[in-house]
Amino acid sequence: MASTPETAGKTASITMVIFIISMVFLAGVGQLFIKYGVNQVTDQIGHFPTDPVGFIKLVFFWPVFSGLCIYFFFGMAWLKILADVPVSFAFPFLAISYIVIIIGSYLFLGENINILKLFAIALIIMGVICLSRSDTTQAAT
Amino acid sequence: MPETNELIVLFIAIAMGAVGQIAMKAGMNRVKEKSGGDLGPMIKALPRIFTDIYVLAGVTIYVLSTVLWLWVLSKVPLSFAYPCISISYIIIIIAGKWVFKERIDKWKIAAIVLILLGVAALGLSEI
Repeated sequence: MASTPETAGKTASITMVIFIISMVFLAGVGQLFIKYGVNQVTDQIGHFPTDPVGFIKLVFFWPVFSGLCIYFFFGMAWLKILADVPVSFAFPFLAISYIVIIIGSYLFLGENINILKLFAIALIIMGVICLSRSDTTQAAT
Repeated sequence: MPETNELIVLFIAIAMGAVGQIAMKAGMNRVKEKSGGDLGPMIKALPRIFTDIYVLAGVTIYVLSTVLWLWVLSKVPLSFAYPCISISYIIIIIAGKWVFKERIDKWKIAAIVLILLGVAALGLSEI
């Protein structure tokens, strides 16, 4: 269907919105795993491993490796999402990973949380709600 | 204020991140079109996806931008880096409009404004 500025817009299905949010959530979880593993190793040896053997060990340390696998899975899902919806619709959803990282690093990595971070979370959530109501019509290629 | 070379890498990382997304989108549009408008099961579509030059370029550029980001984040304070990320949202919106003729309605603009304010608040929270 050719789209002209006059045709009525179409919004994304709730299934697509939930799918995108879940995948971005997963990406945030993947980053937390990687950060957790890197913290562990860095604390243990006193610095980030820059030698090849140390670095390979780091990559295959279970939290880092799980994080990378999760991230790879997210990457596949992201390509599927890009095939189905406009990039200007999909991309802003990535801001949700900040929320996962703020809450996760507070709960599991002992990082602090403050009123501004909570305010940021509220703004991002409101942004994502607006986003999910936006027009996702794709021009015919 | 970060040094000039750090700023240059920061903006290259942001630009590459956005270009990577745009290339992946262009590639996936093409793969979908070649598949007759429906990708079908992801597993079966993978050979088609990873032989598309735009997808490959997009993924490569995106991974490189992530590596640059990690370097930038080790040098530049988060309070500075976070607000800079806002640029990528603006680039993607403009590219969506001009490259892919995507619609930018009131909801999308409101969403971007709110998310940008949120990211800015994150930057402030790190000061």
